[in-house]
Amino acid sequence: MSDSTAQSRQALLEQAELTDQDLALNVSDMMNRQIDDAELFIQHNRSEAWALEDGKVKDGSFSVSQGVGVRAITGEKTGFAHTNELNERALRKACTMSASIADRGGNRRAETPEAVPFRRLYAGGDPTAGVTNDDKVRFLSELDHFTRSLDPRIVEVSISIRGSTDRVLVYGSDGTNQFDDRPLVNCRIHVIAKDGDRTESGTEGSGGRYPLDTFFVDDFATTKDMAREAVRMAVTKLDSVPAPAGEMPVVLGPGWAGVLLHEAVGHGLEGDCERKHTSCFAGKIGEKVASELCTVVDDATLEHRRGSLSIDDEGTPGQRTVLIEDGILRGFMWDKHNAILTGNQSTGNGRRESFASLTIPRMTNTFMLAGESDPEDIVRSVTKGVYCSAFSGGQVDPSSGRFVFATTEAYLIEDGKLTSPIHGCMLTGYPWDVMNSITMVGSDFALDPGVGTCGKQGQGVPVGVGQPTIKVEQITVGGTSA
Amino acid sequence: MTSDTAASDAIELHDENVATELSAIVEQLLAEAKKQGAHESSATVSDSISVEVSARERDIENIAYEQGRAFRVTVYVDQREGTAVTSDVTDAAIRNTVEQAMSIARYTEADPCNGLPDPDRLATEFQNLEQSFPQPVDIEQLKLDALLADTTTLDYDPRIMPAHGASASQTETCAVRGNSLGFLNANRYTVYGRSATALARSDSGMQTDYWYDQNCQSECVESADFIGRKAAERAIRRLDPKPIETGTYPVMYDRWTAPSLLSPLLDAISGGTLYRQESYLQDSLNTQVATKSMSLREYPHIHKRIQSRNCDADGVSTTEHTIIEGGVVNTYLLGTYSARRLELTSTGHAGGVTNVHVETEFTPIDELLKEMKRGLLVTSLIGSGTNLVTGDYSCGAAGFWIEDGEIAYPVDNVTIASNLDLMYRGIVGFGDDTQNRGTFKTGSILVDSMTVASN
Repeated sequence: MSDSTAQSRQALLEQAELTDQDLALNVSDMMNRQIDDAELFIQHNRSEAWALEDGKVKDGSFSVSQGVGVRAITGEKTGFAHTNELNERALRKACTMSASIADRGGNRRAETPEAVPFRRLYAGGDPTAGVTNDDKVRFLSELDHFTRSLDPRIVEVSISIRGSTDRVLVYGSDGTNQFDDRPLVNCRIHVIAKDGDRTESGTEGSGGRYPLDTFFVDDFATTKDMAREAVRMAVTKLDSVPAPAGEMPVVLGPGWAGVLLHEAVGHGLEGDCERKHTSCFAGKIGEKVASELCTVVDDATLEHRRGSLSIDDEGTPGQRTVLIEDGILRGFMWDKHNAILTGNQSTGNGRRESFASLTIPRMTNTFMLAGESDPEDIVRSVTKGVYCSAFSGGQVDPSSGRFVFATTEAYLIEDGKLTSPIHGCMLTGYPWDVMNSITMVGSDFALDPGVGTCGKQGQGVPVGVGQPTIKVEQITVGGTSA
Repeated sequence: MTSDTAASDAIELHDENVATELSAIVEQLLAEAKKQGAHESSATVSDSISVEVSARERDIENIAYEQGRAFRVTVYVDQREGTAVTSDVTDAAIRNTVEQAMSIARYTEADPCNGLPDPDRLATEFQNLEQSFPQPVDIEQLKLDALLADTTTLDYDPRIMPAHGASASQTETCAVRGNSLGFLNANRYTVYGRSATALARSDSGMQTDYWYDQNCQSECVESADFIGRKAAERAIRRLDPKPIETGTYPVMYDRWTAPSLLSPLLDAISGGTLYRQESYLQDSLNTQVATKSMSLREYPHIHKRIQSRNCDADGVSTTEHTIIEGGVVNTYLLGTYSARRLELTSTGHAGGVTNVHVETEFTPIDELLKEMKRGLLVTSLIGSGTNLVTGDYSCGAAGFWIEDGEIAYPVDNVTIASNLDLMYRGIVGFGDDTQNRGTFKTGSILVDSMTVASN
């Protein structure tokens, strides 16, 4: 642990009015109640947000969320208590509550994980520190003027920036004693374009685990690109025609379209689904689940990415896990609890929204690796179909596998060429059908710009997705033009 | 084992004085804001305690105890606004939190629409809405309820497989809201809930469904075995779906999915959507936007309902409204800020609506199905594909194919699409099978025609 990390850890403990001895003593008292595993998660999250609307920087907010979550595990049972009161008395009470799950006594102690060296993938500390409030306000106003100047049809612009620092300390009876200091920033530009009686919106955002001033450098170069993109999207859609309905070939553009993988295969490969046999992928390791062109990985170890984690919320170092290799199912994503119960090892995918939520297996950055096709050839190969480049999100029922995702920018493909933009519509399918009907994978791999939040069991966590241009031979397009 | 274990195993719920205690914190926050130079301020403090027990495969899986308190303070300095939120409950936090809000207000721009509500709009009468029915936590009873719901699900049919299990929970919340105009209101409510999920398996694949109920009175929650059976029944009936042909058909939203058909209509006439020019219903006041046969009336003060309230999030009193009358927009839904932006007056809708009842001539549900003859009955929706700006609507759906007015077979993995404007005008009937579990009281709703896409 570097000096600054050690200092940051110490500061967190002091803020919580706790000492290392308090942690050790409470965990050992819990273990005396014959449970398998005890874990403390102490968190302090500080975030600030600024928003411009109607030409004014009218909204600003600052928030602090802090507390401790205590987990006691006995076999398949979990006792959990959390409080946002931070002191020894409150910690002791939470520990006692949580350990009361141990009604029948346990004896399967969790093994001490091997101490794996890991890399810090982002600098700790407050990511907003390098920027004054004056700078933030000036940035929003200038960007507003710039965005409005791009096209006379833009009638509304809203822009927000947000920065947070999340410090977490994980202390467990299995010897885990890890600390992480996670920055996260994002910027979002949303515009409304109007022409005659048509109104359309466009949105572009980006973010990650880096300093907020990244958006400010070079005279706001990257954020101006975002503004151009939001405006282009809104204005393009002013000419959109109804989307087609029915099953047809669909080409998904690079980057954010990886939300397809996130929904179609990602959730079904989270370890709780495997343990509980609630996924359509359960028990299918080694079997072909996708076209041989598909290799899908979950990778927490990319520097500065929104979904990256130096350590997960159980103190396990972030990892790169191959989920599907050349179409064959290779692995699931595990947290400690589900891994222990199934004889697996945690893959560093144990995540929680905050101290107030139970850890469950979650994705980090999930993406499909590049293939060999020229993206232009992929579009050229379609006689009649749809090209989708932007999405608002998706959802999945992991047991049936049925998933949907909503496009926000899409075009008709006619005779190998993109023609009219179409209204937003839902795409839906089953992973088997869709993943096996991927017939072309492009060479243009891209990660999303860092805007994804994944929701599961009511908990939201930041994630990344990515993919090259791909062609899906058959998927149901939910337009109105039957 | 420590000596105090046995005693502190008991879960401490709110005592009688919680509202007084939280009110004192609100007043401290407001006083601190004044001291630091705020011209106006508002503050909210909430405290909630909850216990949730879940069971899976006929055994207890999780017991979760939650206790949380949070403050929120908003300050106004010359119509500039700053907000700070914290879950740090120490005394020093009051000063720090106000400082943070003030520092933000120093940098934001003045907006003449900012500020507290006009004093004469603030609620002054507070009925006892009877939303708080606290009772001591009986952890053994919660365990029995969760186990019974889980066991009933599993025993319902051999095709039911263990899945995510069932749960029983109890929550107590006290929230106090106040502002520098002297407004102060404490609200206490309880929520008791039970839920179950079911996974059904057949040769053609797996289907899941769930059931839940919640109420502020423990004894009014549907029983654990009913919940368990209902979840199982719903999953089983979805097994072995068949594809249908892509086309344009009548679509009936069953009474449980009907609220998600209606809620975009309310979103489209809400202040925030309107002043941002993000609604397909801009300038729609007093115009026809839906079928003549539909009225939506809001009743904010129904007793013993979790959604009821005396005042909105700004402290403005809530009143009964006919929101949609015979398909015509009778009022927008406005909070203090959005009303000022639109040069209108607040309707007491900061934070949304309360209890909204569909008022119409209801048709017996069997007759409505007969009237529909052939089409899709939607019982489950997935994904949010509503674009309020354009009214474009596209959503993943599952349900049943209706042939000759009767259920023929389950349908899965389809999308239903249209435009909200066409859909609301195209509503041709309301079933008499009304339910009232959440915000809406509604029966099934039949839409004359939507595009259904299938594989």
